[in-house]
Amino acid sequence: MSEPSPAFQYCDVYLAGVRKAFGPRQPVLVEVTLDVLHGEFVLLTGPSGAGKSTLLRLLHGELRPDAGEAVVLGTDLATLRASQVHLLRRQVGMIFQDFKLLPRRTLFDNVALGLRVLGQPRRAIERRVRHLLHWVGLGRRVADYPGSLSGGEQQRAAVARAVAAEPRLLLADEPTGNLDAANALDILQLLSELNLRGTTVLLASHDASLQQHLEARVMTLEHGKVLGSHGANR
Amino acid sequence: MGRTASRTSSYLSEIVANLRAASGSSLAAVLTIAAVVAIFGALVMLRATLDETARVWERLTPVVLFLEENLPLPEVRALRTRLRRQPGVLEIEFISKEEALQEFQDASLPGRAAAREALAWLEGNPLPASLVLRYDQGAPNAPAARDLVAELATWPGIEEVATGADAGAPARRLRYAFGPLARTMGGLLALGLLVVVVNTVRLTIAARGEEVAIMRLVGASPMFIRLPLLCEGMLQALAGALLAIVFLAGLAAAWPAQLLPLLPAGAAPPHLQVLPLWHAVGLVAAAAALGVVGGFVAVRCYLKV
Repeated sequence: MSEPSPAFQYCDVYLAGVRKAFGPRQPVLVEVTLDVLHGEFVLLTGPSGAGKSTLLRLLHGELRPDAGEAVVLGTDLATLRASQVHLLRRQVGMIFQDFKLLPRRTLFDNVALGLRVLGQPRRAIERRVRHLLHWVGLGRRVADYPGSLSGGEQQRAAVARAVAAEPRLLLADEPTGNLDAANALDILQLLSELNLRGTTVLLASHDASLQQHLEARVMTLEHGKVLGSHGANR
Repeated sequence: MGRTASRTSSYLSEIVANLRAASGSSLAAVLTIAAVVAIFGALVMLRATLDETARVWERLTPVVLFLEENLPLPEVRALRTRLRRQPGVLEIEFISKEEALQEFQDASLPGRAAAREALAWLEGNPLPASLVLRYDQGAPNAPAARDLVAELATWPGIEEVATGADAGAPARRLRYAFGPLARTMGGLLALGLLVVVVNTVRLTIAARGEEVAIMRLVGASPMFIRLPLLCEGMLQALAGALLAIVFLAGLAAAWPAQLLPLLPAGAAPPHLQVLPLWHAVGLVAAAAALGVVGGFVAVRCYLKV
């Protein structure tokens, strides 16, 4: 991976004039320009189809920008080779609306997966996973399978997995989309805690009301463009 | 060290997960590979058996030294002792004039009836005493042995030297004809094994598609995802090959007795050859290598990392 450029040393995410289209008639991101500072909590909101998920997938190295400058944790996404994407992902955690837990693996194994791929020692993995599951309130369900958990519990397990490797940046794509209000608040609480401990959080949600529960800068994305930002950290 | 052990343990658990994800197809693959390797191993065993049979049958090819009329017994003994010192001589049998006549009269080969009648008209026993030599490992056909046979004719006390028909020739001819067939079949079997491994690993990739996608999302390196699949191909081939070797060893131990009735009457029984150790090791190694190649092809073609 390329070394962080001095120009982005205070930014975990820096996008300038980023475009992304799926085919010639399907522009999804149109001249997106934004930055997210170290330790910031940003709520990216906008209607469905605005391009929030595409933007997060791009920041996670899943997609490449068609044009513009996109730098995540000092890595230029335009020049990032496919064989190096995993190095970026080890620093960027991701939470999904549909949890993406492995149904045939226990909660322990699901959370441990992110540490196993790093080749961490077994004892360290054991300690870290138990600590995280305890932190998200699932300390007694380490041996359970995702299918036996409620949606809220599954999303908490997904949060534990996303932060297991202590990422510098956490991306959350509609993490409360499938949850009731109480469980959604639990998840927001966990994300706020992580942010307080120094993890940069970029949360995408169509639900702008989430800002009431967060001390976050709010950015609005519509028709593939950032309309503006307001709120907490700036 | 700890990290290496942990990484190895992670790879192993991924391999186990892969095998579990497509356990039915993995088992089918192991059994199919075992069948393929067993067929190939059986061909190797058959070739070795033909080699050994040719050697055994060659020993039956006699060299007959007809002795001079009325050669004194001490000279026969001296001749015998001298012959025993020659390389490759396995056994020497003395056949006296009387024994030769008796043997001739007992023989019921076609055409001998007239000869027996003619013999009855003659006075006394016209057949000479002889020494019958049997050579080790096809010696009558070896250049050195041929030289010896030519030299024997000049030895004192020996009237004439005759060599019998090469009894090992049919087995040798069969073995030479068998070579190209075995090579062609070996190539086809190797191709079959490769196809089996490619398709099994492909099934695993399909069965674990979701897991692979999630592993990529949490930062698994391409190697972390690919290596267990490569190992899976190798392990399946290895397990199949070992199974085949065990089967062939059992076959070699249990079947010779049942093969004997299939032999032509009067032929010496061939020793069914157990797969030689280095052939067995080579077969297992070749199968494992094909497993790795199969895994590599499947990963290359069907896994998007």
